[in-house]
Amino acid sequence: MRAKWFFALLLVLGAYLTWRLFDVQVLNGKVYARDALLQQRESLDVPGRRGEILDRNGLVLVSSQPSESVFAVPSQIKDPQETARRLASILHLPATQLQPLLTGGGEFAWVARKIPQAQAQRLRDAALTGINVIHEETGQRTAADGTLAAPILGFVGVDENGLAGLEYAFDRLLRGAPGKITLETDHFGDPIPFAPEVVVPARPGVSLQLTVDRYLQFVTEQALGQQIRTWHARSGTAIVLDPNTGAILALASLPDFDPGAYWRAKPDAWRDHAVEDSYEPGSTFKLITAAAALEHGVPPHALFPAHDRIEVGGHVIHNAEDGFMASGKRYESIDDIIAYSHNVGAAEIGLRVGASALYSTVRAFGFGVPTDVGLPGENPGIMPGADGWNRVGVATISFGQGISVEPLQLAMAYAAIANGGMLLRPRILDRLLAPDGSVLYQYAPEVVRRVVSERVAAQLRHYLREVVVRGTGNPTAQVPGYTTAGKTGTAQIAIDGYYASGAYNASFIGMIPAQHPRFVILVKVERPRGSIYGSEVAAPAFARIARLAMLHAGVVPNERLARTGAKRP
Amino acid sequence: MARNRRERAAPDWTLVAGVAALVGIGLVMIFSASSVSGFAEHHDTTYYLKRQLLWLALSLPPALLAYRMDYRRLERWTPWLMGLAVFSLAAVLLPHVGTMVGGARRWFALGPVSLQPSEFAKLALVIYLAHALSQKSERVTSLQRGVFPIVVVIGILALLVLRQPDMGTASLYVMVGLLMLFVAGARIPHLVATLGCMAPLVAYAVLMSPYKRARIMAFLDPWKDPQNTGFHIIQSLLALGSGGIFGLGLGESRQKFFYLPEQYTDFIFAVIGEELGLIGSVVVLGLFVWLAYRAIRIAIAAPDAFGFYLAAGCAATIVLQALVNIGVVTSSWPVTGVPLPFISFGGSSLMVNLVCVALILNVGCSRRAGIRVRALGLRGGAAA
Repeated sequence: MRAKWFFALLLVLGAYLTWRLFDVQVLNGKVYARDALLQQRESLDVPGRRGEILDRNGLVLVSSQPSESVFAVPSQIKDPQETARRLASILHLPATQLQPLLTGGGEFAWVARKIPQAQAQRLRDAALTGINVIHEETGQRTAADGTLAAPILGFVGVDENGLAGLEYAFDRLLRGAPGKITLETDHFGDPIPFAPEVVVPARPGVSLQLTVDRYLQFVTEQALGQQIRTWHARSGTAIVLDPNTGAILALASLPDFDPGAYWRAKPDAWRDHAVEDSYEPGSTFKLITAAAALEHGVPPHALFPAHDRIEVGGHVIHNAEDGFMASGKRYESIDDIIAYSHNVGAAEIGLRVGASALYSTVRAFGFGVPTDVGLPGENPGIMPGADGWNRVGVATISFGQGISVEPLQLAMAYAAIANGGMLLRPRILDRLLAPDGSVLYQYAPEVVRRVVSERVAAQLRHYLREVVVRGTGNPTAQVPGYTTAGKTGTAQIAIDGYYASGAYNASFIGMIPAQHPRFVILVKVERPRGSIYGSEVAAPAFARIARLAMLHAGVVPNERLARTGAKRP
Repeated sequence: MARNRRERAAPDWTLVAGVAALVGIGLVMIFSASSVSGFAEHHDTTYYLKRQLLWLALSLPPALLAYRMDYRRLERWTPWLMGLAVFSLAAVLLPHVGTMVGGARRWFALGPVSLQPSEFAKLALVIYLAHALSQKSERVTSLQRGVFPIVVVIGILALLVLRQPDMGTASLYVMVGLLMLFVAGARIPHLVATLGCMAPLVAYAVLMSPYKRARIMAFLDPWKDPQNTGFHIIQSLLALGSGGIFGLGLGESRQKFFYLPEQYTDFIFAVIGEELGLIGSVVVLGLFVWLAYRAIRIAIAAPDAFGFYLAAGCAATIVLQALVNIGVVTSSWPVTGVPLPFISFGGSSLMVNLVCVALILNVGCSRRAGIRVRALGLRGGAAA
């Protein structure tokens, strides 16, 4: 009977399909199951809150705020022109720019990111089809004080990725670890109801507590800014250090920028002039020459022939025409040379000390190598090569020409003199804080090396005190009620190996109080107009910062010092 | 009354149980597979379940009638049934008469329900074949007087259905027809020759229709165009593979969330495989084989030739359709939209299939008195 064959045929087909089912569901089942999961699961990255940047007292300088962003699902938009028009009116963007984003289908296109809260609310109210506003717990990097400390703090990109300054240098610490939400979704990407969500929570980033004092930072920026404005200068930098710990209490760099709109500033404004620029220090470097002399056996009261002009190896060196001339005397001491900032005298000291002693002292003070402060883009200056240390070279280096230094390096060298001879590593970071506020890491003062003996350091501070009392720092670097010490500097700016005419750096580096300094303050103003002298352009800012720093530290002015003022010559 | 003249035996309860199991699994799986669409389209997760239950209720009276009546009376109705089938298949092609859904004109919309004439025509075809084959039991070996007229009738029905277009049902008609000719004892060379004549026609139809060509290409290599022509097949395989041996659990299908197209109709078997695993899918396949086994036993024990062909034809219709459907879902056969009998959502199909089973049971109850029928070598021998 054929019916038997009919059933046999059905059995064979049934057996074949059973084999097919076994093949698809078991033998190849894992592969298909994996492919199925790939299309059914969708993972959303949830950004971790970026760490904050705090001042030394825990005041917030930069923090991340919740943000709102807008994206479009173009495939849902039926009338791109109308949608673009309505979006444009809310977001204040040109409709012609928005319309291409909304046209031509697709499932996702950013329309605008990190928009103001008010705009986000209006968009939500408008409820445009295919336009979605998403809220994130992070994303809006906000500087608490606007431009304050902007060049140190730096800025972040649209994804809160550090692009400059501390934001860039410590991006890996600040950046939180993104969390992940794994959803099961239907074919249209919508979550399946009741399906389990796997949530890996986002981890917030580490916060940086700086050594910077928000108040001193403000004061420093104000004082520097005033000098820059007064003298129509191009830029400037000021550093306030605690010489005993190496902590940077303030670091100003002007002009600055709004980190929330960094793209509007000229890239030059992003520069942190305190570490990213190197310059010829000029007279402020004479103290290094004096340190070399004292360390290498020159007596503190040694005398040098007094000239306003000498010739070294066919090269003429002369003193600045600033009223403190050497002529009229036969000899002058080191404290005269420093106090009146005599180039000729400094050259004579350097020549007496010799190239190798000067070289070793310059190196010992840390010139030519980065300070390792942790700020990006450090420019460690240029140490002359071997041929730069001939007689002419030694003579000019002795008064700060032919060598370039980083402002922070110079400040650290002065801090070594202030603290009794120890070169410290500058610190901008005080602590790393976990998201819950607990201390992850406490940075400690770090001694690089002893540069000069206690006795020599005290002698050097005495020289600096003389500058303020009777020399180039009198009276602009004096602070009523306190003792100050410091050194003026005026140096022509070298561009491509030639000195640019009329382009000077006017600087002052000083310390307060003069005997046991609590603060070392550097002020440098680039290309002032009307005056070029550190005493006029930079020292007043030093005095203002120094006074407010002392008051801030709780040290009241001494009435006796205030009354007598400083001694006048 | 005809009923009184015959000896009625008890129905084949094991067949009834098998079909009840399939219908039960169908209701559960329709609920599982359609609840997402039901909620999305009608805000009612039980929307499709309720409709299927309604159809089940509507199907019982005709099925009971088909079971209780004297099936021999169907022989006399054959011309009317065939006439109605051809008429309705022609009518559904007319615009404003047939309803166009998804590019095919297959349904008569009658208020809230829609009827699919090709399903009812299937039943008419089976009755016609049983009638014709039982009439020309000797002539079936002849090409001109046996095979050819039957092939022409099948061809008319198939071409009408092909116009909808519905290649799946059309090919099912042809398969059922050829199988019945084979069972009736037609000569193998004649059947091969018939197939040989059809091959160029089928090839022409496939090549001339871009969508049919795409389906064949997708069958050969679904991964070539996974988002488009290969989408059905790939999503079906992913569903089956996700199920593994034991399945994700009842109601746990992910593919039914619009990844798998036709998830509660033509591809419901993939959801069964995903939720109930290899175990569930093989059980369903096994139930169809069981149905075929019981039906053929009944056919062989039938009191007359018409009963034999009727039972065998009904069994062939149901089981071949099931095998084609499972073949499509497992990518063993090109995608042809045929539903899985008893399980896929669809009222016309459910009603026709239940009537088919009722006719098989009917034949099974009507035995030749006092004559023991030799079994065909299947285990169990005579239908006791």
